This record gives sequence, C-alpha cells and structure tokens, in this order.
Amino acid sequence: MSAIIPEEDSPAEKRFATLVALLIAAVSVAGAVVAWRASVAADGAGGADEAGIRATINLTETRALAAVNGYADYAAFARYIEFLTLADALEAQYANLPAEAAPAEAELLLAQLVELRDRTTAATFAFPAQYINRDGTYALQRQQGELFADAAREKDLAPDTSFAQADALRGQTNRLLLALSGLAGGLVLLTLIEAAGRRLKYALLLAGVLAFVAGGISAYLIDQGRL
Amino acid sequence: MRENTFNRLLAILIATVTLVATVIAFLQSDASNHDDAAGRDATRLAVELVERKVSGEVRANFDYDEVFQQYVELSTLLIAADSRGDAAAVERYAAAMDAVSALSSIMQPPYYDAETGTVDYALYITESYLTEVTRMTENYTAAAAVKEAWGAKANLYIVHLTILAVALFLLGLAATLNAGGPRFIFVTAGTLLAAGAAVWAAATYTEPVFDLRDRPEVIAAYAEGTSLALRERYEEAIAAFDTALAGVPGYAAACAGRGDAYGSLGNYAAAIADLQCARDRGLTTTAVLNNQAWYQYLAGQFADSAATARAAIVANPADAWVGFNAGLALLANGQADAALAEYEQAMAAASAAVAAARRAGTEPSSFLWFGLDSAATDLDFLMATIDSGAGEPPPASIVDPDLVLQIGPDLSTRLKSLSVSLEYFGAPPAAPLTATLDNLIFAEPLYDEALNFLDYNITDDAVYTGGISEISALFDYSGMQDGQTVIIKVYIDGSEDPSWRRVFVWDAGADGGYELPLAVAYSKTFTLAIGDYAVEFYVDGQLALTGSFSVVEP
Repeated sequence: MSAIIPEEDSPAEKRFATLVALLIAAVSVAGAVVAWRASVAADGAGGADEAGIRATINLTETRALAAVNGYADYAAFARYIEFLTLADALEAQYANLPAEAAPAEAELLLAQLVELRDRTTAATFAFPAQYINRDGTYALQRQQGELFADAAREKDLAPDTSFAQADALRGQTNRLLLALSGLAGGLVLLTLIEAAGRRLKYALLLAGVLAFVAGGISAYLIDQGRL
Repeated sequence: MRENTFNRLLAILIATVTLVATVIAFLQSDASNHDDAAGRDATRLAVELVERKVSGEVRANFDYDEVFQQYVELSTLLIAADSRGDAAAVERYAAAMDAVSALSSIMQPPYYDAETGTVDYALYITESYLTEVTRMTENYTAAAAVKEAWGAKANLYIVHLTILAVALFLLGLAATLNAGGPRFIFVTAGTLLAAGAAVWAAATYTEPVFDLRDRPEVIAAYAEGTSLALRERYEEAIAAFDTALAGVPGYAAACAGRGDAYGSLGNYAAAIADLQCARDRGLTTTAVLNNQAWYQYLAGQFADSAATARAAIVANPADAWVGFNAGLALLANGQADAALAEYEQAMAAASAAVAAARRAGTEPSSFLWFGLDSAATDLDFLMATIDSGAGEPPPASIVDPDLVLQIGPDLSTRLKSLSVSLEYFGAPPAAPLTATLDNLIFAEPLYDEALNFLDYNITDDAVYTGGISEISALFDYSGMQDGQTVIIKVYIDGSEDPSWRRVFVWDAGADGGYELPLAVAYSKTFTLAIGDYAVEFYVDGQLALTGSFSVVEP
C-alpha cells in the first residue's frame, strides 16, 4: 500500500489516502466473497449435473427394462394367441363334424383339441394375464406404464429438472464472475488514484466507488437469484 | 525517467495486467462451463442412445423374430396342409395367421407386402428407431467434439493466466529494485509477456467453436441419408447427403455416407473422392479406409488401393488381417512377391488374432471370418473376371492376368482351409492333406410311395429342375482315417447358406465310395431354392473337394 500514500502530508490528503486504503480493502474482501459464492454455485452446478446423469441412468434403465420385459411377455402372449385361435377353430370344426364322420376322425380331432387347449393354458403361465384386455388384446402400454410408474416411486426419473438447475447455477457462476470483474475494475481504478493527477484522483475515486457498489449489489442480487 | 513517474507507470501496468487476468479468468470459467455442459450432454446422449438402441432392437426382435416368424411358420404349415388336401387345417392356420399378424405393425402396410409375403425390414427398423438412433449418435458425436473444443480453450486460458502471473511477478519484482538494467529488463519482459498473453487470449476467444447440434436440419438430413442407404435407395440417399453437405461442407460422416452410396451405385470415382473427403476431415475408421481401398480396386486403381489398405492396417493394427485387400490389389497390379507377402502377413495376423482370443477365453470378431471368406471369394471373382473377360475390376486394368491365374487357385484354397481350420480347430492346418476325395456327383434320391429309396436321378450337367426337395453328394475317397472331422459348406449364388453347414466325424474307413445326403426332406413342403450351388468338402480343416450343381426354374 506504500505506493498510494500521498506525497503531501496535509490532513485532507491523509484522510483521502485512508479512505482509499479502506475502499481497496473493502473491494478486495467483497471480491473474495463473490469468488467464494461463484465457486459454491459452480460446485452446485456440478452436483446437479451428477444428479441429472443419475436420473438419466435411472430413466434409461427403466425404459430398457420395460421394453425387454414388456416385449418378452408380449411374445409369450403372441404364442398364446396362436394356440387360442387354433384351438377355437378346431373346436368349431369338431362341433360341426357331420354325424356320419368316422369315429376315428372325431377322436383325432378331439385329441388335437385337448392338446391345443392344454398348450393355450400353459402359455398363459408365461406372461401376466392381468394385462389381457376384455377384447382379447394385450395391454402392453399399460404394462410398460406401470413398470415406469413403479420405478418412479423409488428413484428419480426426471433428469431435466436437475439439468435445468445445473444450467441455472452455471449461469449464476458466470454472472457472479462478471460482477467480480466489475469489482476488479473498481479495484484497479482505486489503485490508479496514486498514479493520477489531483483532478483525476476524484474522478477515479468516484468511478472506483461506483464500480464497487454496482459490482457488490449485482453480485448480491445474482447470489439471491434475483438477477 | 523520474522515480515517481516510473512507479506510477508500474502501478498502471500492474493494475492493467490484473484487470486482463480478471477478464481471462472469467473467460476461462465460461469456457470451462461450456466444457462441462457439453460433456454432460455427451454423457446423457450416450446413455440415452444405448437405451434407445436396446429398446428399438428388442421391439424389432419381437416384431420380426417373434410375430413375423410365427406368421411364416403358420404359413408353411398352411401350405403343407393345403398340399395334402386338409381344408379344415388350412382354415385353422389362416385364422391363426390373421390373429398373429394383428399383434404387430410390421405385419401391416407399408412394411408387409401381402403379395410377396415379405417384410421390408429395413424400412421398419429405420422408421421405428434406427433413424432416431443415427440422429442421437450424431448429436452425441457433436457434443463430444464441442466438449473437446471448449476444454482446449479452457486449458489455453489457464496457460494465459499462468503467463500473466509470471508477468505480474516480474513487474512486482521491478518495483523492489533501484533504477538500472535489471529493473528495465524485468519491466520489459513482464510487459511483453502480459501483452503476448492478452493477444493470445483474444485470439483464443475469437476462435469459434462449431456445434453441429446448432444445425439440426443437417443432422436430420444425414440420418435420413443413412436410413435411405440402408434401404438401398442410394440415389435418394445421395440427395439427402447432398443436403447435409450443403449445410455443413466439412461434415465428414456425410462425405463417407455419400461415398458408400456412390460406391453401391457403381460410381467408383465419386465414391473414392467422397471417402477421401471423409479421410481429409479426420474420419479414418477401418470401414472408411477399407471401403475406399475396395472401390479403388474395383476401379482398377490397384496401387492406390494397396496404399489405402495399408493405411487401414496402420490406422488399426488390431485388424491386421484386413491386409488381404492390399494383397489382392497388389496381385492385380502384377506385384506377385509383394502380394504374397501381404497375404502371408494377413494370414499370420488372422491366426494370431484367433489364438489370442482363445487364450483370453473370448472369441474373435465375426469380421475376421468374413474377411477370410471374402479374401478367398474375391480372389475367385478376380480369376473369374479374367476367365470371362468381363466384370470388375476392368479386365484390361489387370496388369498380369497369367500371374493371377497361376498364383490364385492355390492361394484361394489356402485361404479357405485356413478359415475352416481356424474356426474349428483354432489353428492353421497342421499337416498336409493325405486323403483324396474325387469323382463327385450330385444326385436327387428317388423314393416310392412308401418312401422306400429307389434310385438316384443324376443329370449329366448337374442341373436340376426346381421342385426337388432332396440332393445328395456321391464321391469316392481314399487315404481317409476314422475320427477325422469332415465339414461341408454350401454356397448358394456366391454366399454361404449356414443352414446347409454339416460337421461330422468320419467313420467310413480309408477307401471306398460315399453317399452324403446334403438336403433331406420329410415332406414335399420344402424344396431347394432356385440358384447355383457350390459345395466344399473339408477334411480336418483342409479343402479336399469342391463341386457345384444348379437348380433352375421348371
């Protein structure tokens, strides 16, 4: 600080020098505080990103499992539909068998029908039958939707919220650093007072104080999320 | 200079450097934020991409491998029922086919063609997920590139800040010294360093970071082109790649995509130029280099082709077996010694890759088997081109056709034997083949109504009329040993049909005649497809006999 001690020893100059020294100290402390808040915001952005990635993994894992399990069950349902349709058609043929049909033919049809009905029943064990709709179709979307909803109860499946938060905090970091640049500019102006002429000193003091106040207030507002 | 004036000047300098450092620190933080954001986007896209691909594959597997195959199975049963006159069964199977086909959109237009009974699988997967996956892949690649660019910027700003710190140190040091040479040097050096860092930082700041994601229409055009190429609609694919390249002329992937589309249309000059465009823009994958080498070979640019194939090996040493392409080009260029050296190196690399995989308890890439089989097939095609005087590469461009015909047959046999030997025994053939298989005849077995064998229908020219359901190979053998492994490979119109592959242990003694059923039928439902059949017989991994027959339209 020796560089800014006025050459003149008049009381006014001494008070001026003291004021400038106090302002420089205040700007430095304010700058350190803003840098700390910027660092906290940056840390928060990193944390929110991590949370977002975790949510993305949860989401994609849930979607993949819903697809794998859902279509495995739907494939079993497809086999069930095949047996069911064949059995229904065979039963209709058996029911419409002419009276003069050979007993052997009737026995053969019945045996085939029994086997197909057994296969149909067995096929229902391979998929969750509660998803069969009243019209006989399979509610794949409902099954996958339920799997998704179940997972959502246990883990975060909304990465966009975290990513939006990360972006906001990242913007806050940048804005705080911009405010810090203003404070640094103020610091430079106050430092240059010693190197300036008598008239310029007051202009630099005014500009330095304005930069300090503007930087400090904007940093506070940014930190509070109002700017 | 007066001491006071000097001190004031020094104070101004230090203050200015501090201000510059503050601005650069802000820029560094900003670049670092962009780096983090792009890295996060890339990670997110990578995870989502895998999920979308897996889910898409699962869906497509269900639609094609379950529903469509179930439909085909029922359709085959319907045909069989129809051929034996069981109208009731036909009705049942038709009802089941209707019920099954209602379960998937792949069985509806525009994917299913009821007239031909075929599915446009490429259209289905491109529309259901592949185009989207391609778009996501490009977004991921773009995000990764943006992360790299911003990361580089952030690192450069740190360099600038470090230089400014040194400058501040020198200026501060100068403030402690009396007037004189050292003080002047410190001030000058500090000022120059600070000015240099400021200019460098300004240049870094003005360097733009290109983000392909800002041009979604370009990525969409590329994804569309890729999907169209997969559907073999190459002209439309080229138009889509043109759109992508008009938007971003340096889009390497679009260059490569358009190059392959041109190549598929036989426009080798355009294909080679586009693939070079991709290489010039940093895309030097094995696929790009190999495809360029292949088109150069087909265009008769053998020296260039060999050089490009070599570049592929240099770029990807783990795939050294791709050297077969270089060998083929050198052989066509009349460089026998160099060609044989390339083939030997590639065969050794293939053997080493299989041995390494076995040692590690893993399996080699399927591309290795494809590469070995293609090496032999390409050699066979080259000899066929010389024999017929037509085809690709242009016969007139082949420098020494006699050399190819002299070296080719033995080389082709060695490649085929190596492929089978590596596949089944994990090592190249150990000893020379001692067995002799000859007098090969292809014959259609004939049966009476009670399915008792009657005789063989043997044609003089090995041409059989469509509708036959069985074929056997009859041959003589000598020098065989019980316990040897016999492998049969059947190629239909140039491509192996794995469903015909047979592997069995020999137990028929040293000499005699052998009747080998190649295709056995239990009903008249399945018949041999129309086409040219080439059959290869391997004994303990060594090619022992080849033959061919044809099935023609009735």
